[in-house]
Amino acid sequence: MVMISAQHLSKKYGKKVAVDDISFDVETGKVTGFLGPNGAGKSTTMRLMLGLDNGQGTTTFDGKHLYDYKQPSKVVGILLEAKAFHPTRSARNHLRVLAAAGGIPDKRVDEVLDIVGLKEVAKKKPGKFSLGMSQRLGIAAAILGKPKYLLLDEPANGLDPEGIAWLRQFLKDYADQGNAVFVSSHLLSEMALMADNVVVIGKGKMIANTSISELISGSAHSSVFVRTSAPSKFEKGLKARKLTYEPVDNGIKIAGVSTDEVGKIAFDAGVVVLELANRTASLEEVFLEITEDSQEYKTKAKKGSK
Amino acid sequence: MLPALKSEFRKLFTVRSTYIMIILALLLTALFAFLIEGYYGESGSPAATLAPTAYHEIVANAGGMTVLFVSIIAVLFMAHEYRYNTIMYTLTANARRSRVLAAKLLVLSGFAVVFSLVITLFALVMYQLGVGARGETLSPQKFDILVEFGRVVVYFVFYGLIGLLVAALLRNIVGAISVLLGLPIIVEPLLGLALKDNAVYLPITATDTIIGAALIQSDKLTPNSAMVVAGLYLVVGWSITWLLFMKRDAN
Repeated sequence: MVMISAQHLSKKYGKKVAVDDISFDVETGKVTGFLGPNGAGKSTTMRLMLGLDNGQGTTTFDGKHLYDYKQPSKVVGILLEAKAFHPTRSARNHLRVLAAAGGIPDKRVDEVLDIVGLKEVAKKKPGKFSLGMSQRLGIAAAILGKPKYLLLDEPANGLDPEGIAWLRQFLKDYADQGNAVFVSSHLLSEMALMADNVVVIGKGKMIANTSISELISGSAHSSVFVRTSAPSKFEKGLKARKLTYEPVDNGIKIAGVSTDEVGKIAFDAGVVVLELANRTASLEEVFLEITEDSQEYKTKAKKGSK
Repeated sequence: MLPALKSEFRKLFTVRSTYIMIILALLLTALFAFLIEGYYGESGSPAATLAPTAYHEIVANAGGMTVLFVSIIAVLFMAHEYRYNTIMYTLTANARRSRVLAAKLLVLSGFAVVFSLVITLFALVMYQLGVGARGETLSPQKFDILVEFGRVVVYFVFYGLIGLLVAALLRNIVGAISVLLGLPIIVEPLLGLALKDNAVYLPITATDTIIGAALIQSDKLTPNSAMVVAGLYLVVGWSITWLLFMKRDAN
């Protein structure tokens, strides 16, 4: 099958395990989000996938290792760090260096500069670029070889709202063309809009590897809100089915159940349903829920504290 | 291999530090060959006194003075990759690390060859102009052009490879340049006190002996045997560097 397959990736720094036996696939035609708290091992995992760090495990791209390709730039495009350029080498020359390494014609350099909106500053030294402009240059470098796979680490950092919206649409379109995009980000609302699948890691271990919709629907934060004519009578029906619920705002919030089932419970209990609504958890809620035990660096302030 | 070579070539010539080093080396050569030895000629050296070995003197001294610029260019060429993290692009665009290292060695060596010839020719022309400006005529010269130029080329290539090697090991510009300056100025002269005549076998001293620019002079080592000794150090040093380049994380 055509995809990136990362198998049993592991990496230790001394005694500290940075990445612990992580395996996942990145499918073509989809954007796969890569999530994890700070220090979870996301960047190390990406570096292991590319062979930049020496560790255990293998990563194949269409069944072949990256070093088996004559022109890897046409297989995978990367953005692992926004400011990965020589500050006094012009933006255009930076890309010309990468184009030469990948056997890519120079005219493509001007094309990608145009795509990311840096044509006007092509001859400027990127040392004075803002973070957003640096990210755009990094994205230009990543797509230089029109690669089938994109591996991007926090590409939206520093981008303005227009840039973020452009990036979201660009990556979705890129995946729709039969390519695969593997992207890490802490902008969870963006990830929710952009990603089809998600790989979540914490403290170097795999936490979740599924589709966004499955991840959200399986969350304890996803619930059904119902308001009935006789709440106490309705609650008896819930207790009989051993469902988890809590009274809220003149109604009841029930976890792990569909609206169809709630309707049926109400019918069986003989109560009138006045209001019935699905409450879908946000990706942020799900992320915080599933990575609660994997936060390496926790702030002292608790939710709701001043 | 060609894409890797082309990319490394572009890296070398798209940063201003390369040009600054070249200009500084040319200015230093002009100052020394035209003004000090050619025009004023007050140093009492064979070049200043217009002796038959004047050309040899000019070539050796110009080489000795400017060769560190090649090393510094080599250090920047390699260490900038790590300082600015462009190494991740380099090693992803060409996932065979041996090929990347080979391309860097070849491009830097090629640059050192051209640089050495330019500096040597420039030094001789400047010296000749200086002597002419002084209103003097040079004695007939004992100067085997092929041998002298050949040694200078090897000398510059070796220094370039030393710079590249130190930078590949340390991955740090300040550290690598400190080592390059510290070895010939501090470490080897101090070791020389203990080793006496055998100090000519130390790596930098042996390399400098190739063109007769070593601080520690001895008859124990001819320029040709110095080439072999320095070459052996490079083979051992580069074998270790190569292994480490293959094994270490790219950051």
